[in-house]
Amino acid sequence: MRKEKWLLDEIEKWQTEEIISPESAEILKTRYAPKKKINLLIVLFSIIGTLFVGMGVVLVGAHNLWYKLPIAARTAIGFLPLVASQVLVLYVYLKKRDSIAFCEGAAILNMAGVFSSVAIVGQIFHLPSDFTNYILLCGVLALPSMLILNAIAPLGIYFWTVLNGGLCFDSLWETPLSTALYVVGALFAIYNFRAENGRAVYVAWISVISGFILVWVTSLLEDFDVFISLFAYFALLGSASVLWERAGRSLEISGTAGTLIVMLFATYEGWWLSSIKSDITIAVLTLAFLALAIGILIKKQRVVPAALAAFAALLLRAIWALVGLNSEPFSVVFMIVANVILLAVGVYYIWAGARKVSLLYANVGMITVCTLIIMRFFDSEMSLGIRGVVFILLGIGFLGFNSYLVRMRKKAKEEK
Amino acid sequence: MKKILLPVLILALVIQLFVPSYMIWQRYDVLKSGTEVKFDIGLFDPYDAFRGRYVSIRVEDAIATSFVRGRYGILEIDENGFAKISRVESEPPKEGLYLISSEENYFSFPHNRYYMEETLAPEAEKVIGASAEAYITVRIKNGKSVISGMYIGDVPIEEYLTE
Repeated sequence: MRKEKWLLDEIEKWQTEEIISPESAEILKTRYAPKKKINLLIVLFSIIGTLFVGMGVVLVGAHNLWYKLPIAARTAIGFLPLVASQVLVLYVYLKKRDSIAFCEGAAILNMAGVFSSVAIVGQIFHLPSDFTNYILLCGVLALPSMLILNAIAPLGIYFWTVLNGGLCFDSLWETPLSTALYVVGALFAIYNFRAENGRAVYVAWISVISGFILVWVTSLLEDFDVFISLFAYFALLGSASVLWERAGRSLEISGTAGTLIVMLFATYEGWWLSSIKSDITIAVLTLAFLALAIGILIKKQRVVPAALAAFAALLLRAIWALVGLNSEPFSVVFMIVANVILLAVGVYYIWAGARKVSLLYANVGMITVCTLIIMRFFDSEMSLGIRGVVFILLGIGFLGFNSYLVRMRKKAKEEK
Repeated sequence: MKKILLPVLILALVIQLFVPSYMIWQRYDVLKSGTEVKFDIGLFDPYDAFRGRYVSIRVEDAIATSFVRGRYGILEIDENGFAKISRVESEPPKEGLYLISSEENYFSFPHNRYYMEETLAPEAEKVIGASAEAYITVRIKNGKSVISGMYIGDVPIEEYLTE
């Protein structure tokens, strides 16, 4: 901050001394203008503080201490937290719109006010249990203030209200309202993917996790192969990671971790013996995911290992489902191919880690290969003899490759 | 864009107020001008983190608990004001008292909760478990219904428990 201020003073002097033109001075001033620093601790404490207050308000409302009062008085009490939070929202919008701490706090309190007031109405009139609709209604009512104040803290609660409504008791595709509301939340998250100070990372993770739940549960409810949907989703995450700098890292990590974890299941034969499930709606959506993922990579002309691994896994599972090869001996073939793909992905990450000097890549590769080795070592489905031979061959392969690398390095040194 | 945001925000806040107000108005109208009937009940005491502690109501009525097809429960009232569901229809009757089911395809009694102060709900469960005279009063208007009270004998349960 001090350095930037010094530089700005200097630019003023250069301009006065006519060393640089006013236009150049303006460009330099804009480029080196001190960035507005946000105290993350203050923002976090304001979020945690208002979250506590909001939850406290809901709990005090639930206590029902005022049951002896007439209905009109109880109704007025019920509206108090909502009206107070609305006054705060308006004040923050008009006077403190630049303060992230105020915006986040006001949006959380408003959400708590909505939850509390609707709950007290239910309490006063002894409304029957309809938890799903209750929280969905509260999520919808609190949405505009969250969007307008650009507050990301209540986003996780919002996704919960929408996903719970659409997924717990019904299929999301049969409830277009929930789907539309989820999309609104996801677009809001994407809008914040370029934000600073950890906001992008937070919204990226929240939307990735809720998207994962959405894809998984919807596939289960629609009786479609969950793994095909998940691989398509992970491929999309991997591809989309090239679009944003800050959020992209989170998308890449989640896409990679998701693909590798689900692929680990695919290395068991039982996975390829399960009954084949298909649904045209999900199949179309899966293809749309895939097309979008490929489209992003082509447009950006980048190769993302996470997306490639997901593509390979998706292709394998799709061939299995389309041809209907869920019986022996095909299951063994698919299991072997899955093991080979995962091993190749692990080795690729180790190689890429060494090449780029990236500890993250190298560790991802090491963890993948080690987990695969441990799983196969304890795998009771495969013959001990076959596993022994495969392990010996792989070991010889790795050692041979290592000695080849050492020889190549020596040769390169000698040539120098 | 910024000029539009303030009216949108104000509209959203008005809707936030309107929705619970509308919920209140609908029920208040039934409470004020509906016909009151009584239902025999059994109950137990559960918990809702948002709305508080309540006693879960199970109406002692064969039809109300047997998933009969149809949405409209036609009521028969005895000389003491106690109601029974005499039959279930797919269309609302032109006259007489009836209840609208909480489910679309079969009849389900529309009330299952009576909210109480935190410490009173467990006590209510104990008292009503030992008493056969527990009932709820429900106000009904055009099939819509709102619970207006819970009684042991002729004493409101809140009074009964605090005395």
